[in-house]
Amino acid sequence: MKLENSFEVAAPPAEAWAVLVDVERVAPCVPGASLTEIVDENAYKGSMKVKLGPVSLAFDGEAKFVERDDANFRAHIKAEGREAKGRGGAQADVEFSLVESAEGSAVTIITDLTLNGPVAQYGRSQGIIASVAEEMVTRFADCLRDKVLTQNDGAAVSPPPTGATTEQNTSASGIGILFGALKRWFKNLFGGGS
Amino acid sequence: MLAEFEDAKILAGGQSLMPMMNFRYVMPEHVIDINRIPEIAQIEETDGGLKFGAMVRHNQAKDSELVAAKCPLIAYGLEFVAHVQIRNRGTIGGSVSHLDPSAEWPALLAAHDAVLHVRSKDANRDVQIAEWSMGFMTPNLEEGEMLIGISVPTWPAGHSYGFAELARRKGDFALAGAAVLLNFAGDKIDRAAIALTGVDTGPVRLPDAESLLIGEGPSDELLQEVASKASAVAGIDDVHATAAYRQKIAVVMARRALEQAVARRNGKAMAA
Repeated sequence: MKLENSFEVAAPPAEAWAVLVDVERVAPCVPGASLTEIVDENAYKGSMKVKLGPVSLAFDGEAKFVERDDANFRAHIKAEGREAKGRGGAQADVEFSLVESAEGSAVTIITDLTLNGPVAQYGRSQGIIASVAEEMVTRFADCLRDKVLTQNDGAAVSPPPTGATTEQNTSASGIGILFGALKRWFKNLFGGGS
Repeated sequence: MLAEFEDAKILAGGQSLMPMMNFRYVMPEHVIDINRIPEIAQIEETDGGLKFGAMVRHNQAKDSELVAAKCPLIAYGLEFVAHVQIRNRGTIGGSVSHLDPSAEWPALLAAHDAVLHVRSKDANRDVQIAEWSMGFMTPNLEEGEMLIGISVPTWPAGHSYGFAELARRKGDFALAGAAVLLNFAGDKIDRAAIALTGVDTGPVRLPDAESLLIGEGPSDELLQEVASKASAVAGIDDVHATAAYRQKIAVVMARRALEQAVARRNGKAMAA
């Protein structure tokens, strides 16, 4: 299923990117997700906890950049996870883009999500998976906009130690591991080699 | 115990939990059996209403003389809950906490503006039924909280009611259902409540439709106009029906429930 979220922030694109790089600010937006391994500059391993009504699911998986356009602030990330207790899997194709807008910057996140196995087949949840996924992405985007991108006080960026985990404790939203990745990507953008 | 264990599920009637566990869909680390707490298995009359303990079984409420006298909509609506074996074990607390979109109890409670009593180890709080659903099968319960009872304000003696749902086979999850309460002053309706089930993540009241009824006599045209407001629901798309179909059925069920309520009223008037 395809989900689209977009939001605007009152900051020019380069500034907005810089804030997105700050993992300490972005991390609280991704409850339930942890980054467990940085495989290389484009690939990450992580886990994600999601509550779909009565059931608590735990996915372990990978995410990687399949496309990056630094100059135009676009990225295409593929993420894939398997449910820890064998209840199925999830694949997400996520496109992030940021453009200049009247208010400052407009961020767009387009997610193509596929679930397979028992998690997708349980009869009572079929009709609701799309709205749960939608809600997760919306919450993530809302948090980014309201908490992360409005606190642009130029705090210093600290690099993620290789292989470190950022552990969050609450429910839902799995796109979080991508932020550890985004952060490292931007570190490369602004400070590291390319 | 809820506070102590992470990943625990409460076992009440088990009529939803056990099938999910049998499917290996829900796999909690701990199951907490609350079947031996008689304090929460009573139906009591209170000042202004009835109080149902969370462990009251569906059939216990359905067959209760007190419920039939004070909340006849509930006694009637419960006939539509699953099958008799399930009703013997299943509980009001379980149904309302599980919060399946097609459950009957949430709609029956929403029509009455019920209040839910929630308890954790250290605190109590009350939740209005309108604020109970937080999303798909997600009630307004924090970690470590449990529903222990529900207070249902009763309508005036002699009020009328109706309930209709469409399921492909009797006992199946309903595609859509409607619960109606009407109170008459003379020939005119002076109070109305319409609550839908099966069409969203929680019960849906129709305040715009209800206000059309106030002060009016229940003509066919009015009932049709009122029922048509039920199509404004979100609906649910799944393998059984599209959202659009559910919206259509919601209108038909609302209309049937309204007609039942009017017929019951007329029946009384004729007998008098």
